[in-house]
Amino acid sequence: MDQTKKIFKKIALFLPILGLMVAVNAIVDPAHLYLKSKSYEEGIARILASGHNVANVHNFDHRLVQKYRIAKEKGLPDMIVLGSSRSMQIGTNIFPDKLVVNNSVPGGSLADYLGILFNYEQKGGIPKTIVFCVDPWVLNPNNVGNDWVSIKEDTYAMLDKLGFPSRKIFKAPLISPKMTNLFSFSYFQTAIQTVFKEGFEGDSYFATDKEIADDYDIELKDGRRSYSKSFRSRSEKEIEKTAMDNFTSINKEFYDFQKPDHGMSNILKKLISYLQSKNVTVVFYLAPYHPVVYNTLLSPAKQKVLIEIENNYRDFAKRHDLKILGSYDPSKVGLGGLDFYDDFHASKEAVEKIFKQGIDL
Amino acid sequence: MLFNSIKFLIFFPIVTIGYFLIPFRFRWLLLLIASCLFYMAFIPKYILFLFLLIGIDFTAGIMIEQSKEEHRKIYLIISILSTCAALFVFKYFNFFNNTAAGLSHFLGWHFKPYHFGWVLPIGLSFHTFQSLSYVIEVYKGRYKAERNLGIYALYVMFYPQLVAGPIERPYHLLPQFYKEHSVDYERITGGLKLMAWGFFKKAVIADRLAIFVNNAYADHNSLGITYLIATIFFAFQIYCDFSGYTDIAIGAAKVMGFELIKNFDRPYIAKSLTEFWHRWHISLSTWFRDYVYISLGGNRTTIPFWILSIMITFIISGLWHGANWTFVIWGALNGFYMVFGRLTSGIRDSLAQKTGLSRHPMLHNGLKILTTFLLVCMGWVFFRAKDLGEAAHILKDIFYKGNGSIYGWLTHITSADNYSIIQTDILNKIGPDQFQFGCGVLMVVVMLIFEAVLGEKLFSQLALGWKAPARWLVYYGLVIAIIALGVFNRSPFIYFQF
Repeated sequence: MDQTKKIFKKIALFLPILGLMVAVNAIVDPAHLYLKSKSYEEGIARILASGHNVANVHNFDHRLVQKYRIAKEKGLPDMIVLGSSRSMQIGTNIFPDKLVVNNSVPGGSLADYLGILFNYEQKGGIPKTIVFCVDPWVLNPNNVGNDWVSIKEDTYAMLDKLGFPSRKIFKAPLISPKMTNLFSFSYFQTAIQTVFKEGFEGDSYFATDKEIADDYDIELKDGRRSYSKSFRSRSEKEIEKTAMDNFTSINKEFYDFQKPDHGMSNILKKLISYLQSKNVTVVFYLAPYHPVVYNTLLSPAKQKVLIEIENNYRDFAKRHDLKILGSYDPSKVGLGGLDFYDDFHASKEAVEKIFKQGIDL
Repeated sequence: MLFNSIKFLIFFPIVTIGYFLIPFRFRWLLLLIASCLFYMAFIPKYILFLFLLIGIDFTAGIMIEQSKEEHRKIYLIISILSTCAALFVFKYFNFFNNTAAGLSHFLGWHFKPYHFGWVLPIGLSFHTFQSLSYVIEVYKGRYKAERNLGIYALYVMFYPQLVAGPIERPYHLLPQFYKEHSVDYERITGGLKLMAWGFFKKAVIADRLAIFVNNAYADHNSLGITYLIATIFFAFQIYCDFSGYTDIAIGAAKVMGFELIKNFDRPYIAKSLTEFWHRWHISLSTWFRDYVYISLGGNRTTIPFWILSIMITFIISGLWHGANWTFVIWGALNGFYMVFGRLTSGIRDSLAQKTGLSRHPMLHNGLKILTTFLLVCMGWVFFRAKDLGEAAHILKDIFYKGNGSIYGWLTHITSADNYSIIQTDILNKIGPDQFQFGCGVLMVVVMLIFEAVLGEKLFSQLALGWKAPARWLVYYGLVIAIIALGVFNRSPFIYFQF
């Protein structure tokens, strides 16, 4: 017993290091998860809702920003966009005569779309037109991720509204990702880097009317993301390299994915019927992939899955009388390597080109 | 389950505490269940296949022991064939099939190869060799067949060394399952220290260097000098990755009272290729020595037969690592080094005497170490490249092509412009975290200093007898280095793929 006590005493001597790490994670909090949580996102939402762009934002909860923004807006927009970062170039640039709000969130999933729509329901109604960016992973239950958990009560409330009382399909993790991050070594490293770069207070965002900056991204008032000039003006070779690097590190959404999930398809079907019953015009948007990714990096099997999913969405749109735009295959929408920022993200001009291919909304 | 995952950090203390809390007679069962869960964290269904192999080899062991002389060999062959057949189907079927298809295409025939689509079970090559070692030892009468199926299953599946060794021998590991281990302060803290050292090597050095290596090898337009640096970094990456894994495995087993075979002994201070192979992946090298090389005649044969047995042993060893021609060439190259080393040892010794080099042992040994390291690095190019074309391209760029190559450096006066191009290429491969990368490279030096201080001892024996402040400085430094400088993207260990 003495030996056991001695061992536990020795191990306990390492606890101060763990304690220090947790304290730094909570105080520096580079992703605004703990002490800076909510106030950071509310501030961004306030600026956007007041009709200004926001610069110098990083590491924030995009779902919460959408939630707060919808609550703070004075009225309802004419049109909204629900999707991922792949649809963040759709906005007033394409529909100058309409009040458009792009509510896309990075890695957007069906759970996010439901949660955001519920916020509109609470606001008083759903906008008359919705562009859904139907990414391949939208119907993949293995890739819902954990980000949606920030607005999980809204997602569950919308599921109830659609007649899906079971919460099994979108299961929130037992331990909140925020809690695990408190003990994360990577988060600690980011916190230390943040302290060196910006001090303990961090470098705050600010309102701006600029639409493009040299070195940083801007969140535009219509919800679009404006990438920095340095990011946009890269050579084809640099874009191709980024495409290859990014793709090999984050191609997870293709894993464990043989065909669209039946349960998820049912929810999407119910959601579309619900929206149509409220006279909402729904448009599907298939965001293209960089040609190198689509033609070279995707194995034939995975390419086949993409084609099947695209066909599945096309059939779905046909059955429900929905308009559908774009294609995962860049060649089908006439895009080349230079039309992309990286592996997943078509440029603003490329997206405008797709939407101009004969659609009147 | 990866050692460098949160799951393992929860799994390991639970299993260890449970192991010491329950009565001795149930401990093997707990370890077996834990090992099954550990294995099932990868692809659960493959455990059935592993059970089948365990059943075959366990039965074969008993049958070999109980049968008459003329039947014993039959049971041995059945056991070896079934174990090797599994390895062949999962690991080599597509390789040989595609090679045959390529050959038939070359000859103008049309043979469409069937593609075997099942993923290679994790650690198959390791537990296959451990099983083979068991039946061969029983056949040779050097070890009695195990009568407890559970204990035998644990011998094959013991979770610390299940997926990447060290490849154990029955006479070393099996008796340990019958010994009762108590809580021992020195042993447990020694095991934990060794585990921490393994995590340090993996997270702080191997995964950090991997960033540069992966970027350089992925870019076919890298400069020769960049490829050269990447290959040297790869030498330390693979060493820290695999020996780091081994340290965690040996440390985890040690905490519970089990001693596993030492697998590495400062390989990069080897003065010859023969010495290198006595220091690198020792459990595999000795396996090949005992069961392949000696069976082929070993040292007690004529020079031509000796050359043949060395080449066969190393080519099989290369193929064991992976079903790719790059591994075959890597094995053959090492075999060639061994043959060349032995055949020229007399000439080299007399040359050293004539030039006076042998009178300066420090310089002479330093040159030997450097030459051995560079030869090993040349082999690593084949080990790391995805195919022979890529390996040839990289070697050509290192030695010959352009200003960034060795030839370029020797024949051109490198201008400031060239330095700037080289600097840009290297910085591109390092990526945005230049400070952390610099620290990672510095940690290679720290590791080498620690290894020099330790000599043949393991890290668990470091600082014994030191004063408390010095000891705790090392412990805290190690933990802080892991937390602050480690890469935590849960990258699998390189040897898991084998």
